Amino acid sequence: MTDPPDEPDDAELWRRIRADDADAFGLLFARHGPRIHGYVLRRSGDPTVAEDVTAVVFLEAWRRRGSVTLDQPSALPWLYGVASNVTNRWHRSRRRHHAALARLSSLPPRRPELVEVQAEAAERSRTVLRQIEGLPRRERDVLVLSVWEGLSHHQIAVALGIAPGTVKSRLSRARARLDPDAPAPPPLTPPTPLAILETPS
Amino acid sequence: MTPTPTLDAQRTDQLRSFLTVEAAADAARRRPVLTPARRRLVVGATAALLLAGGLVAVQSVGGSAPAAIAVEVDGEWTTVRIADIDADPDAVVADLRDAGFDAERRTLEVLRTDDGNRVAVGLGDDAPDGARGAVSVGGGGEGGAHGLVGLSVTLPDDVAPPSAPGESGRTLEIDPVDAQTSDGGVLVVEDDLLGAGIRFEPDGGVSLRAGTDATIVVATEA
Repeated sequence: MTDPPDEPDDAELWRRIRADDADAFGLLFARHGPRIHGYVLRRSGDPTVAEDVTAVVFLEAWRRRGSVTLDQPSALPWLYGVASNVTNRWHRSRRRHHAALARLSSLPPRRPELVEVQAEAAERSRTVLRQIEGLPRRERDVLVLSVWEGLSHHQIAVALGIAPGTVKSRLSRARARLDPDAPAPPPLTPPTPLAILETPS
Repeated sequence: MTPTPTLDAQRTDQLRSFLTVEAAADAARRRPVLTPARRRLVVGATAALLLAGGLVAVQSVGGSAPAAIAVEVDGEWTTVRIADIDADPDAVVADLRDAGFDAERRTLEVLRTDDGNRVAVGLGDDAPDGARGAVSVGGGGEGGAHGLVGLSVTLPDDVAPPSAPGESGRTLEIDPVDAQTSDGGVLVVEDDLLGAGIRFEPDGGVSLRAGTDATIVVATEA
């Protein structure tokens, strides 16, 4: 992902955000919000809460601006990590930001066409989520970021704060659980979701 | 793979405006109690008290009851210990908050080693309430009269919990020096925690580096 030449990169945006620049924060959302929303929607399978969760992801990013140093060219992997945590601990995160979420509810309703798009995406996600719900959460997190979001092992490691080797081992274990009869773990390059999730009949 | 977009430009702009307004409002009303700067102030004030020497017992504001915690400052590190194991856990939480820490009470599943001197609590996915990074060490022996067993820490959201290098590592017996999984695998947790500004002391104390955004958990036994 390359930023337009007249727009600051994420590192510059984050530097401004750390200096309380709300407009820079808005630009960060415009840049990465749609992808984070898609991830949250697919993780939750629930279009009715996906916008709330997405908003909380960015509110958490804003809240942590003073303690987080961006040492990557893109903030996206870190935002994925925040999104993963917020999704996994939604009840607690919601309590922290309940006042902001109440204000969020005053936004105009989503356009019917958008509601339809989100509902279809959520339905597809629920089908897949049912197939991987038996995985330990740590393995599920890695699998989803790899397959659905297309992140590299390095990006997943940044997102989840784990070593790249741990990413590989969790992916390998997840695939082995989903396909226990396989003679060896599948290759680690991201295949299509169905190739991973189908088990032999 | 490029997933189908689930936000259109109009909705993105609406959410962007909302978040920009929220951020600007937050910047204007900064709550100092939650900021690293506030914590540094607390640490500084405590350090001044320490000039009188040694350990400082922190009392509840306006209260005359015995202090439930003790706070010790050493450079950029502040160590908190339970001073009265029989104290009401809620009083411990109150004392911690009075001292400027984020604190909460949580009931944890506590296991003890054979020697009774270490406490084991599930990490991450295994934490009873699903919270990640809940860790408890030391402070062994029997719990207090009100079920108090020790101090723990919930890591900030952006800090990964210590991860086990082996296959299992599901139930952990944590010692600051010699951390092991239940199956004998050695965990490298000390560096992970230090990187997050957290240190567990052999006597059950919890140390936070200035600016660490962590919540101290007052652990009670299930």
